[in-house]
Amino acid sequence: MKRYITLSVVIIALCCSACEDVVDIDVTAGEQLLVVEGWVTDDAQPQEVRLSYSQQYFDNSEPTPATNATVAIEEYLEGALLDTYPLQEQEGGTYSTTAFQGKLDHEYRLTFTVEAEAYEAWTQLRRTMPIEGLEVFYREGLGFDSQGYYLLLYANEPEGPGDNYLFRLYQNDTLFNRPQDISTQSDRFIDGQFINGVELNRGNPFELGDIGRFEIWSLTDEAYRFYNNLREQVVIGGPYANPPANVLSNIKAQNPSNTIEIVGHFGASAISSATILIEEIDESED
Amino acid sequence: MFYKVAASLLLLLLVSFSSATAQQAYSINGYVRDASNGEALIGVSVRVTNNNSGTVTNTYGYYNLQLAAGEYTIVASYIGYQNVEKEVELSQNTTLSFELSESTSELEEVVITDSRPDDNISRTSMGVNKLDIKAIQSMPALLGEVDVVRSIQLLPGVSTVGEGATGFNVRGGGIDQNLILLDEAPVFNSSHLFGFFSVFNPDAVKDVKLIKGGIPAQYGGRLSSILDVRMKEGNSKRFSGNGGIGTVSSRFTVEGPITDKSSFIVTGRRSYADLFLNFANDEALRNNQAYFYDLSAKINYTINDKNKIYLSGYFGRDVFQFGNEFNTNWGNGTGTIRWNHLFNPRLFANFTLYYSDYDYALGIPDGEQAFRWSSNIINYSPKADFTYYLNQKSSFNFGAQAIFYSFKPGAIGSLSETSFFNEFRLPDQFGNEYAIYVDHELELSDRVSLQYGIRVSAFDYVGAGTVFDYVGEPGISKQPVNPREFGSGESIAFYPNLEPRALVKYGLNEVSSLKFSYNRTAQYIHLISNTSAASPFDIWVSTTNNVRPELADQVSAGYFRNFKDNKYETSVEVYYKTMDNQIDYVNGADLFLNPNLEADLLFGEGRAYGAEFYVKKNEGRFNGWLSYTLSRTERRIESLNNFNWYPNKYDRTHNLSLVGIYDYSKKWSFSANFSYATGVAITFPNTRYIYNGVVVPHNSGDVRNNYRVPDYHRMDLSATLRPKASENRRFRGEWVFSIYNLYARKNAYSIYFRQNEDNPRQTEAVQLTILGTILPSVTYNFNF
Repeated sequence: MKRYITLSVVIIALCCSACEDVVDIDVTAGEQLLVVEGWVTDDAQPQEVRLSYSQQYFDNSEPTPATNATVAIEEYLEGALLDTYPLQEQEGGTYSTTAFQGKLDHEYRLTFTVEAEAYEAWTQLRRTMPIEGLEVFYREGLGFDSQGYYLLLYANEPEGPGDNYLFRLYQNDTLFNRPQDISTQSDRFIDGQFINGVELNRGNPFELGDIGRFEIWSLTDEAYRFYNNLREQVVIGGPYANPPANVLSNIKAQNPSNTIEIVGHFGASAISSATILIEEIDESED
Repeated sequence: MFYKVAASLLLLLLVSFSSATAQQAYSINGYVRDASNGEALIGVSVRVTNNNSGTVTNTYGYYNLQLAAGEYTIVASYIGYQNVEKEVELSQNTTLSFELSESTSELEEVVITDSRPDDNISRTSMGVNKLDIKAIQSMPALLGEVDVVRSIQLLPGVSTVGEGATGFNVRGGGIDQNLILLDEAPVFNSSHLFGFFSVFNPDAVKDVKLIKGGIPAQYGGRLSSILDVRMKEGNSKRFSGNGGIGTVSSRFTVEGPITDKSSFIVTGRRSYADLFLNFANDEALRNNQAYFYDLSAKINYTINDKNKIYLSGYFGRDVFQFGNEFNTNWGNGTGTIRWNHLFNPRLFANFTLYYSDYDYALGIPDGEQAFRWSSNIINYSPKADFTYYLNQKSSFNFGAQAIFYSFKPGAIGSLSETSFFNEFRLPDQFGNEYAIYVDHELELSDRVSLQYGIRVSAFDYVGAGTVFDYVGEPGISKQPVNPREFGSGESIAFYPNLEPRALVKYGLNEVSSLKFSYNRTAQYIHLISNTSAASPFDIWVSTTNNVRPELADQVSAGYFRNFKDNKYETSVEVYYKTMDNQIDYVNGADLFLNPNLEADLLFGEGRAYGAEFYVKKNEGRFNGWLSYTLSRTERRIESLNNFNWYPNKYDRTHNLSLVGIYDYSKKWSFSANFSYATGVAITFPNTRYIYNGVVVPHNSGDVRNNYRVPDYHRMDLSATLRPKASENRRFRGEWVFSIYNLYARKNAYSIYFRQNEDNPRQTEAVQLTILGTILPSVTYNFNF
């Protein structure tokens, strides 16, 4: 919902002779942060956690990985510990395991130790929205839209409130991953509804022969908020931008006197996905 | 406690009145009006030359003098008008009304030597700026749209968060801390088109007064300032009209007498850039709409010399539609009924009943995703204000008001059968605000006069509704606990407040004075906004069991001196203000359609201080003012900025405005203004990290507003051409040529940080500029 507000003010602001220039700015050096990207999913991919360090704001090199960490994920159901899975260190600060797949309603606790400091984070794997199907249609260029093939989503939002989703769209296995492509939705206003054809790739038309894949990842409330905050801080600009504010992390140091700032998120998702080949369509259907 | 204080106030009043009869004096009273159109004139100095005492007309043009029997010369004087002198032999209560004519012969040296108004030094008020609507109309305007709010921003102590931003900031207060009154009804959003233009049609405005300090007890409900805008009553002498055709909008006004006891004015304005879209070849463009309009109307009826009734209304709206993709609209509406009643020459009363609302809606009109989201604030209020003129040196203002609010924080409706949006509505909020006040204006001696008083206000947050307490860790969204149900009208939380006000004037000599003031103000409604600049979609919310009333205490001191027989007014005012229960938000707060909005709010305190320097030349072919403000405004909020003070976004250390108006000849006049201000405060990141391939900016240490955008400065020019009109025709026209941002300065509105579009690993800083170019315009105005 909030993005409609953003959308409206951005469009109107554009009409009001706003202009942007890249400028040279000196910013002070910041403290180094520990960055955590970790996600448990219910698909057959390895479960991965990536640990790295932050950079100075205008440092364009690759981030430094946090190596030699001890990382494990504990699995719980209704508060009872089921199992503990140690993660093996791979290249570039990535730690992974294929010992388990995420299960619905199970809770996961990430624990890791870096440079003698211990950290933890909790999450839960919630249900996702099953996809009924994708459909392709062709649009002539008009106004802000360019011509090309567009995807429509049909899906059943499950009955009962409290579901949140992250949407990810791939064109031939390449994820649309610009800041403005981060797309989330809660079921607060659409609970139990049939999603009867929502356009997925507005502004990113597909071509004939492309393969489109669409994924819906379930999110906890905390993860939903994390992604929304993240989007606010990276899709920034215009007179009505949210003021800069740090994105809160769900990872905590086990020793409260630890002063290293931690950023990032550990989450768990059930994923539903669908794939479609873009081919010539019968115009009479339109 | 609350009722006790209220009762003692009433008692005090009664005692004051009973002592009034002790002294025998006669009243000279009446109205001061404009000779050309019969408009009542506000703030006219009415002086007794014999003993150099005097008063000023109130907002309805009424004055009252108390004098012993004798012969007097009474002079009414007002800037821009010729003085009128009347002799009176006083042996009983006497009605003496004045009609003043404009000093049209501006090119001749005006030869009135004595009793030029010296109000700014002699009057018991400070922190007050009056802007003559004619001066506002003479100043260069953005795209030719004469703008009350933009003119206000050139006064000392007033700033804004940026070019074209909604509202204005007074002495370090937020934009929601200004009580903007249009014929006594509050206006909740003062802007059209997101802040580029203000909602007041200048043709309907008679008088604009901004009160920043020494706020009289009569006013309350907002912390920082009162912007009192009075609409014209309508020409009571003859039928007339005026209008203008501008680059952005056109205006038209008609006014005139209805009978010999009543007159009316109707005025309207509409922007028309979107009308050209209809001629576009592109169908998508043709389906777009973008316009604003406003309409106001006023009728007054004089029943007899003791009773007069005014009826006024305002309605304005902004509308945007982008094909079938998206639409939005917002606007204010106000309606006021007023009854002036003279109980006797000494007791003037005004009874007001007003209605005011602000609402917005946005949505998608068609299709699977069709929805309509709407929000509003509605309030209506009965109000009574009395002025009792006890004697020449003493008068009382007192009155009472009740305001009934209803807030609709947000609702969603689905618009089409196929829409997959469910209906959703946040519970409405209800609140009642009450106030009684009394203040006493007293001239203790030739040198010392004072105005002191008290306002007792209270807010009752009432049901129906379910309320919660919120618990949780500081700095992150809290959890609702302890739900409690309240029935309709049942009191949930009640907050009484005592608001003492005091002002002392000490006359140093004929041409200079010192003034000191203290005021406490309370505010019970709050604008919730988490964007850098306020947007039309911000939400007004009530004080609740969790959101406490905002309170401010301000002390100020000023030195006022006039030069060259009051031709030049100068003043220096310093102020210090503290603000309690200021509202802020947790990082990543979710403010829209959030049933637990209060879980995301943070509270803290604010402080603001500064010095304001003002030089004004009132008369002559060349007039204008220079204003400079050195100030600071900061806040300290739980769990933000490590609980250290940090500057508000609109903190402008230096703020300078220069306005000059030059009447070159009868045909040509010119004006120019220049503004300079320190750049707004802003938070810059110092680190970055990558999450899922996206570069995220971060400020380690969570420091707020640690940088400034570059300084703001701008110059505007305008020229007015008045072609010679034929003598026997009433029709007059003029051309106004204006240039906004003369040297095309690209002023930074804000600076933000993002990853490069082509190379996502590269980060860059981007300066956003609004109106960073030269903007010429032509307007044609006419009147008949």
